[in-house]
Amino acid sequence: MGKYVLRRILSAIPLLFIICLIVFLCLKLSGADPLGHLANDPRVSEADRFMLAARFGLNDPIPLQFVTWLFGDDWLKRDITGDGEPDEFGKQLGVLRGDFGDSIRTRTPVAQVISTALPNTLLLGLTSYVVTVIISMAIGIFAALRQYSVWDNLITGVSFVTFSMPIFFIALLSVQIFAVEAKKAGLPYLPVQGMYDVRGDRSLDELIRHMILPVFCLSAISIAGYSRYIRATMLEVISSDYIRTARAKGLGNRRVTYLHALKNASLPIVTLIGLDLPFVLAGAVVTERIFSWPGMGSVFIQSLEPIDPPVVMVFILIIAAAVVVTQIFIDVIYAWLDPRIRYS
Amino acid sequence: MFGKYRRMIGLVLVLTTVLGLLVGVARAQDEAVLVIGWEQEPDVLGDGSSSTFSQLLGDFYSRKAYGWNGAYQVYSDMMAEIPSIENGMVTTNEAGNTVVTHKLKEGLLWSDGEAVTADDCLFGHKLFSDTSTGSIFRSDYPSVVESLEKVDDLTIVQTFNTVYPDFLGSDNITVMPQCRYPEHVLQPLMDANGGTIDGLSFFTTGEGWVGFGPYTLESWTKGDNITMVANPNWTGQQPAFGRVILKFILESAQMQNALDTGEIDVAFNWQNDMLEGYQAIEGVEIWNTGSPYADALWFNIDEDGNNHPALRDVNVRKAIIHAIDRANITTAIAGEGVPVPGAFDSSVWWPEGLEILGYDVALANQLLDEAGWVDSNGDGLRDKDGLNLILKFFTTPRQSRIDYQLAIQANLQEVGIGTQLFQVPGPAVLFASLTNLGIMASSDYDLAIYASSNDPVSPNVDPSSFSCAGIPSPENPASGNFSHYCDPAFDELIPQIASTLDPAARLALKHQSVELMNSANFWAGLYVRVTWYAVRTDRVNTEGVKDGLGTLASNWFQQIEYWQPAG
Repeated sequence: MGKYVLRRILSAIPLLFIICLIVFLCLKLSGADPLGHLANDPRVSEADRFMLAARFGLNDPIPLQFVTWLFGDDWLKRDITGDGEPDEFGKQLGVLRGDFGDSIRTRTPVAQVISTALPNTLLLGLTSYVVTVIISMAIGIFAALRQYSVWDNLITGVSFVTFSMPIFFIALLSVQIFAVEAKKAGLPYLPVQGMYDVRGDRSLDELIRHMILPVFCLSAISIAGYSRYIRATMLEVISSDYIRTARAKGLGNRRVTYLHALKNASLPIVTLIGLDLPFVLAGAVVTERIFSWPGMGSVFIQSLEPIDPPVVMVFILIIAAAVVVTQIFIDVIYAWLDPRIRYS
Repeated sequence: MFGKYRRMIGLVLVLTTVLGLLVGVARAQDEAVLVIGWEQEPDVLGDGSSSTFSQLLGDFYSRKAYGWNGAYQVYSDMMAEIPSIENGMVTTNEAGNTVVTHKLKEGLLWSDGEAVTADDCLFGHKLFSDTSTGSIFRSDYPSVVESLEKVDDLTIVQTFNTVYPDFLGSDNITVMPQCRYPEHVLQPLMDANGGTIDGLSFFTTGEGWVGFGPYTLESWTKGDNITMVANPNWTGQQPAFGRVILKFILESAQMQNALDTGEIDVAFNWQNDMLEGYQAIEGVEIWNTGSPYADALWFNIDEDGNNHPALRDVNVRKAIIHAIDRANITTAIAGEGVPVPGAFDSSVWWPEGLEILGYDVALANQLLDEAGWVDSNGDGLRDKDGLNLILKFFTTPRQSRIDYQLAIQANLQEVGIGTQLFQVPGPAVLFASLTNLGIMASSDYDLAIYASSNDPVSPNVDPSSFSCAGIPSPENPASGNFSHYCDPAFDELIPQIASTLDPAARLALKHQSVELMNSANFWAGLYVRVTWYAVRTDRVNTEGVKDGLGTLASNWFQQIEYWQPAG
């Protein structure tokens, strides 16, 4: 197993390199100019623009820009003033030396931007993921054990309706109901944005209150999808011969369902979770924006207009790396769930 | 082991959450805190950002040497006098260039208690004239300011390298002395950073911030808020709100909801189409202030382009303007009380008796008849020499502009003018350069709605937008005179206005230019892009707020220290 994991990690390195190269070329060839928004700003002179572009290496040829992104530019002297003479060396060390560069928009190190936003995203994303998995498991199993009952049909109907709704609609609807209308009705109401009340303290109860609506919105659609999937896999498993045998041997219904059936039904669910989990890191772009949640999704949106290539590159790199790592992790989980699986 | 307690644990969790909800809602607001919804997080502090929402911060904690109030009159929190020829502070040196003396007020302090002195202005001059000090937006400063010399601790003399009547700068031009950066804080930081401000956390995160304003920066929680507290060393009006929090809310609908639920006290700069929603919030007062920005109907008057030949006749253009009920359309689309601009230049530059064309359908029909454009075949459209009067009418996909297009189309239809409506992306298609086959640069349009504004505190005229040489051509493909307005008499006035130091003589020249441009009738104002404010009256005494709001691009909170809590 150890060798297998090591081999997978090593094979991921060229994959990540190719992903970075493709994303870099896409960003550069798209024609999006990180400083384009300054072109018509009368407060910014042409010399100001040239200098900023030069300091961020945007005046370099595209292949050189990729090289400096990887290896840094502390060896490269650039013309900053526009007189054709090289003036100063760059200050970046490059990704391979652990320096992700600086954000063009905020002029702060990208690592700092990411490290500020990532914990907030993980908090929101993992909470909603745990909520999603727990509730959808419960609903899926409940519906599977009562196939074609009134409850099953009701759950099916609600799932389809929820799954069909765009997340921004759910978000704005929930804000309207649980915040705006609740306040009008004189009821306790929920905050509509941020992680804390800026007037109050940064207490746990404040955080929980602020998480309720975004977690609800993120979970609602996922629960609708996951619960259908769990229901289907559970139905397949509980009609298997070994489940029938277990029942015939006199095992209790709860034991059969939760120990034997659920464990075997978990394999495809783990695959699903493994595919979705890396995108938790990316943040829920729409939800974070609507609820002003200071996470990766918000950072990503702000890095698109105007385009901020150093941030976008690292953002993509993190997701790609997360996909690779998660897949390796899922393979290990497979082996634990199904002892018949062996890697060599 | 937890099996038998699981119901109890569950109950405790539920109760904790519910209690948390109730406690949170019931928290008393007993502190004089003002929370302003901020629709865009600033990128960096200081002059390294061109973002309006970064620039707006300056009035809280980093006041400039001079500012302009809502009526475009200059004032200063930092300088003892406003330089002028009359008070002898503006002179001309032997080389014929402008020399301006600036005097700091006595007793000014930075937020850390250190004195503001002429040395800080010299430090600012170094920042703005020496590009090796880092990436900031220096505007025209390095190209026109020749030197800055210290006379004494409170006096500096600024010498320009030309005759420079806009010696205080303007909304768009930075040339005034840069005294708002504390030398005693920044110089050591720069020394330790290789002589540059690039990457200093002073600007990127506000760490160790020291400034000159009624507030000082307390914290910047990235992605969430900026918190400022009253500056105890501010020598002007002490702010009544001890703390101001700028809460970043990027989604416009959520800004409105946050005001409704009381999470913020002020929402501003929202779009006209949200007026109804804000009006529906109880306990909120709404108003707007003017701005230099206006959406207008622009005519293509090119003498030999692909435009409709009718537009080469000034009387046809006047007829079109008369045919459009701009006041009522604006009330319907932009909201009650939104003004219709009368002329391209700000009214402070208008000569007496400037002709402003109003809504007059009869006169419009008369002018068109006299110009030979009549409905000869009874199809409802005017024509001449076999050519129908149908105009290609462009704008960008902005909803309010599309609404205006439709309303104007209906008005023009009433006087027998047909229109074909087009909505195309602005920067990429409509305003693109001639090289990139931009529609306007290629002269392939008749009418267009877009915003292009003048600088209301400077009478200068942008040659690239209104001179004959500014008409896009293969030699000059990036120029922006899309109306193809060309008047040699007007062209002569442009450099004269830019180089006349005497304000009265300069104003007279400006009056001439406004008259000439207005009489060409290639521009019809539609609506001023007002700045909307919605303020909770249970938190803010709005009486003290409205009069002190700035009306330039980034000075809206220039009198934030005068804002008072309600009650």
